[in-house]
Amino acid sequence: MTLRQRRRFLEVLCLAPAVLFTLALVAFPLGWMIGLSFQEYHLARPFTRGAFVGLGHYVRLATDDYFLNALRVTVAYTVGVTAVAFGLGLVVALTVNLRLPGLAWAKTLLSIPWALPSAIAAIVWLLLFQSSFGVINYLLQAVGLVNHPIEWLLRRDTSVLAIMVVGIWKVFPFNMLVLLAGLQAIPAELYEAVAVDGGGRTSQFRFITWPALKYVTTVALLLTGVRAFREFEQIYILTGGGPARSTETLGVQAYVYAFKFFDFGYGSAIGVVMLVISLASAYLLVWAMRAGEFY
Amino acid sequence: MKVPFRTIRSLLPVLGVVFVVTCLIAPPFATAGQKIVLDFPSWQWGQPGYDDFFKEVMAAFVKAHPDVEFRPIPIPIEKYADQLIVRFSSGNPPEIMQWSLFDYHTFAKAGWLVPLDEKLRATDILKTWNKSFLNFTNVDGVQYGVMLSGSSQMLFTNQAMFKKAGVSIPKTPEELVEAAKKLTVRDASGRVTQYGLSMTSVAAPELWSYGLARWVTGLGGGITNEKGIPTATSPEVRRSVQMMKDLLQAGAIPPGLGRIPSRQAFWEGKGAMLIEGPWVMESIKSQNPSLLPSVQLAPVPFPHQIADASNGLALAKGQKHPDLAWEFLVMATSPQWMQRYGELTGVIPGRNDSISTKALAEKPWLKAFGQVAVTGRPQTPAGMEAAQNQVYKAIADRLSPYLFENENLDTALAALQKDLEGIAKAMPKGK
Repeated sequence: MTLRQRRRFLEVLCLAPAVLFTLALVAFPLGWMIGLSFQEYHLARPFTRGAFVGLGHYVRLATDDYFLNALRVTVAYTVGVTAVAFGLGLVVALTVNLRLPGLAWAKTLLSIPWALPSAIAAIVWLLLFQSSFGVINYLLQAVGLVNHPIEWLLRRDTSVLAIMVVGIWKVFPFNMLVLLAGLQAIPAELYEAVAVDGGGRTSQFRFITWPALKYVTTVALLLTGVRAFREFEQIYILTGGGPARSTETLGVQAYVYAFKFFDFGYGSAIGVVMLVISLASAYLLVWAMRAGEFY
Repeated sequence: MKVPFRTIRSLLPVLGVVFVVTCLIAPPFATAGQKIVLDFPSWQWGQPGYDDFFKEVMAAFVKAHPDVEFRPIPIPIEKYADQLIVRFSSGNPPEIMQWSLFDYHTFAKAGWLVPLDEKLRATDILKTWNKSFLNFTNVDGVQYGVMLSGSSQMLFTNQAMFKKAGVSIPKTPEELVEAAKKLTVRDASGRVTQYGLSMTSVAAPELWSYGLARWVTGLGGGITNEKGIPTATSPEVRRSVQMMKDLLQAGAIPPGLGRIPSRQAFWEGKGAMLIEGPWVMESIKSQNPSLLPSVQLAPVPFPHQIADASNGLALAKGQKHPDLAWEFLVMATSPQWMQRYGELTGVIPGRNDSISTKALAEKPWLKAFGQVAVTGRPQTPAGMEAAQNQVYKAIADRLSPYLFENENLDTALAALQKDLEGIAKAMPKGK
């Protein structure tokens, strides 16, 4: 074996554990899930378990009102949370970037929701939204905004609002931090040049800030969107997808079918659809950004 | 950047030293590996009473088998079925297999549990176990598990609140509704400060399993009949749902409480009544003992009493030590240990006549709960046990728009009936 071959062999040897782990932890489960989506795999139906059903589950999905409802809820949740969290993050980032006294502290405090584990955050909000003993209703009644407690997580209209508020609260700090990093990378000379040309703050934002933020905007929108699309933990803890499936996203539905109804075949098909939508959306977003000469 | 081959080669002696040191410090693990380890996942680890019981049985078992050690694996009840599914699917089932009423039938139908009939015939279990418990563990004519405890229900009342309101203990469903309304107290601003009836009232599957099912069962109905046919539009279901709505509108039931917060509301003195099992007495003792003198138990104010399955032990198929696991099951369900179970947990053991004199002296309420365990009706949907989660979700999905919004009851019940018929149609038939 030559020195070059030995070096190559060692490189492969060093890479092997990482490759094996990736195959074992990502590729294998993914392949398994895709395989299950073409099978009848219900724990309580041992006699048909493993039977090949082809596109049967996917055909069922296309006509399943509950699935179509979950798709609608997921799209509404993803778009709503991403848009508001990004907008709020941008406003806060622009404010913090003014570098006024005390804003550094505000930045730290505002970052807390992002740092909190999702499960803990959801439990805290669950208590806040509680109809009978929750703080939100207590405050609303105390200031006279409502006469009766609002059953936030028991009604279809308010529960959707509630999960979106929690979703936005959780991810807007991420948008703020990413955009703030982008803002702080813009050279001050560019703003001075606009000022020399007689431009005001609006011109500075339009011609300097916004174009300079386009790259971080792509990153922020992509990561926030993907996170919102696959959100499970917070929604499941807050509402479990209820009431009456009004907050049942695809992630929650896939989990419920697989681990509560024990129908792994159908649950896997929902998971595969989620994967395809997720990949396609990410690809489209990057493509749109490139097409718009963002790079 | 490429790392020179020489640099990598020079690291090999260092890696060798690390390997040798690792081997030297490994003996404690190696020693543990020589023992037979029995995995014991449970959601009851850390729960007073249950934790104590299992630890005592395990200690006695280890005394008889010094080469065995147990590995308790605590798993929250919400994640218990998920974790076991992963273990079974990956060919690593636990040696000590505890089941809850929500997943037992599914696991049995999945072929993951060992049929026990032959083994059970060599014990006294089939003769000495509560008949309704044996009915529950019978799946398509085969026994796959042994129930450790059942869950009988009684009406908990806060007598201090009853006396203040001048209300006597209700004996009928109508009296229950009236009493709950009279026991509800509001402050000057109209905010409820004391609820007449603390009850599970969430828009989730618990709404049925820990809430409405008790009323429907007490009235003599069910979400299915004895033949397993859905009965969502039956008079018992309709009446129960209407009573709950009436109490919610009157502010007598706190909306949005899960099973644990609803118990908590009672023992914290925010609710005047609660329909629950004997474990609540243990919670009151540990969480708010000053409430105990005010607590009086009464039969549930329905024509029928309520008793159901709770949890038990089984033998997982494909495990490494089935003989030891069976020996453990036999030991834990022996008369001596079933008595100890009642003493420590304060619930009704699966074995008949297992409430000891000591347990009765310390927990006198066990007598009443024990009687209900024998005579009570089960609330698990007959014929649809393996689809319980799906059934309970359908109930919550269809009834919450009526209970918490203004949807028409007939529409809700008709939609529910249709959903349940769909689930029943997809149910696996017996072997």
